[in-house]
Amino acid sequence: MSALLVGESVCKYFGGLRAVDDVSFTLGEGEILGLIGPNGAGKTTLFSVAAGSVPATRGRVLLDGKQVSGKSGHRSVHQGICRTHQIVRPFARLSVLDNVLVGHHYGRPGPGHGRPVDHAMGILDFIGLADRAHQLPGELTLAGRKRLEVARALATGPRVLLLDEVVAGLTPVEAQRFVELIRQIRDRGTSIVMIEHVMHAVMGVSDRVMVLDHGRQIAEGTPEQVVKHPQVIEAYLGRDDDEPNDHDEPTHGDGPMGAGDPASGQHAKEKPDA
Amino acid sequence: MTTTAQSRRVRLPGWLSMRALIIFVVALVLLYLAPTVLGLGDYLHNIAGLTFMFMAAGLAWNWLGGYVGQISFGHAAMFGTGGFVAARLTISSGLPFWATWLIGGVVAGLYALLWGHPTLRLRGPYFSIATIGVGEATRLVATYWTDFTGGSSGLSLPIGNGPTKFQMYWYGLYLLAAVVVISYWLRRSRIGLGLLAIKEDVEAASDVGVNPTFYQDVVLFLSGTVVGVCGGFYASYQAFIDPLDMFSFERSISFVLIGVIGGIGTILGPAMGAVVYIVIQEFLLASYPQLYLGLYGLLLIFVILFEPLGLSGLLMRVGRRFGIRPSPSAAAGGMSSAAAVPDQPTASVGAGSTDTKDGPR
Repeated sequence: MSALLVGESVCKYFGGLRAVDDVSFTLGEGEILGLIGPNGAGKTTLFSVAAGSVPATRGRVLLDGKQVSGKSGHRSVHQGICRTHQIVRPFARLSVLDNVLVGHHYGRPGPGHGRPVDHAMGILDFIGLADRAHQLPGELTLAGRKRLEVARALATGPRVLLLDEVVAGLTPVEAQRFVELIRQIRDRGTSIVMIEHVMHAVMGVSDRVMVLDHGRQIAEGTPEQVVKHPQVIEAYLGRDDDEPNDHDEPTHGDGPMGAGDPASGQHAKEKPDA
Repeated sequence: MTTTAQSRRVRLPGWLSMRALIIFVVALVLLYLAPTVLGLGDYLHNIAGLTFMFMAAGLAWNWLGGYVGQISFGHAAMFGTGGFVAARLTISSGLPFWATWLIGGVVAGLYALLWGHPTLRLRGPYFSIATIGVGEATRLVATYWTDFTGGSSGLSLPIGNGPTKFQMYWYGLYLLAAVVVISYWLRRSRIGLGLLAIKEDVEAASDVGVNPTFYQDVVLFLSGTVVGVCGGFYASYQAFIDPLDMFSFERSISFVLIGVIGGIGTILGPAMGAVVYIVIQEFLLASYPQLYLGLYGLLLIFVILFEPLGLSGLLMRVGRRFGIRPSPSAAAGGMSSAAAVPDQPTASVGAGSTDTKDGPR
């Protein structure tokens, strides 16, 4: 498998905070890479670096051998890498169709460029929003707006799509449909990196999973390997106090971040960590 | 009409609809012939010419204020720059008047880029505050730069080699026509869609490939250039300009007022706003000058409280009474794009103030 997207020891520091610390990764053509980790692990920061909207402190990201410019997001879109946002950001006063057309007009030139509306409607049809094309994003449900976010990104003709928690916050039925959609997007030829807190979603659809904790990569492998990895279990569930541990270095000041059901990670944000 | 329009639409670029073209040409011809047919009095005739200029300036201000959502309180800086460059050129060179306007406009546009490139990174009120600073700084420099602007005694233009005040009506009309075409194109082409995206969410726009810096710079340059040309027009029209008037804060505010009264972000709203502005300025304030600020203040409050889309919003309401439904994005203060509408004539109704104007007829 040829590597399409490569991260070479990517670091992103905010002052003394090491949001992403020496993370390397590869994404093959037609692969889905899951990116998990407790809240504050640096997943979204890694996304921002990979999408070129934030420059890396050290290291670099290569798309097809060419470095992704860290100066502004729009350049990497033209290179073929597009991201969605955890909190959806549709253009509120543009119709659903116009939202997608923005992506079409300003994205990577590709097939179907002669007929913008047809192309955009085709994407909306694929994503399941065709009958809503002339509504405003505010009239859609959350699931609809998340679909719109993905549709708009798809319209830019990306080779790599970075999905930031598209399943989180949806009902189980909607989530299941979305997972199916992600698989279909991959089958259409777009490689995907997805951040996700909903475990069964990310485990079910990913070819490989990478786990971040405190900006460091702690595990990588198939979903089965990763869930059994002791450090991953520790990062999510914390250490058992009764268990004698020989490496008690309080370096990270591990609190019970994201403790309990990993799927409840969203809620953990709102609760102050006691 | 739909069928004929569709069969002929093939020849038109995507952003131009047949109906808009017909309205535009008819309006242009009517306005061109109006003075000869109606025989307007000298005063009305001259005021109409000035109104055309204010319409053009308001539309150009709206490209930045309405399309990109960056409200500028400093456009007098470009108005004055264009006016004084044009005036200096008229005095010292033998260039035809239209060339002096154009050169003045381009210089003003470049000046806008000079301060705009760094300040356009700011958004919303922060950008607006920066423009106030730019406008005031420019005014002070211009007032003390007596070699160029003549200081507080101003500049008098030689009379005789320029157009007469009577001819200015038509030059104003040409200027307005050109600006209307650019407004329409900017709004309805794919560029307009990108500008709306920037207005809605800069970062999200950047994340789908729109280059916000580039497009904002281009729009500010265009806007500054046209306002500069308007300054040149004004210099020729008045035959005397002084920096205190050209660069005044009131001048900047007038562009904002025209845009807001007419309907910010709409295609023709500022043109309507300019008429209201001139009527108030010439017919009410001439009699009651002490009302100046109070009246504009009240007007702004009313517009913002009750009809944020100004006169255009009012027209859309009237249109709805007559059963014309604007597209959802237009009703929400956005505007449907050209690319979206040509295939769906029903959805395009009310896509611009040109269309809604049909309602009451």
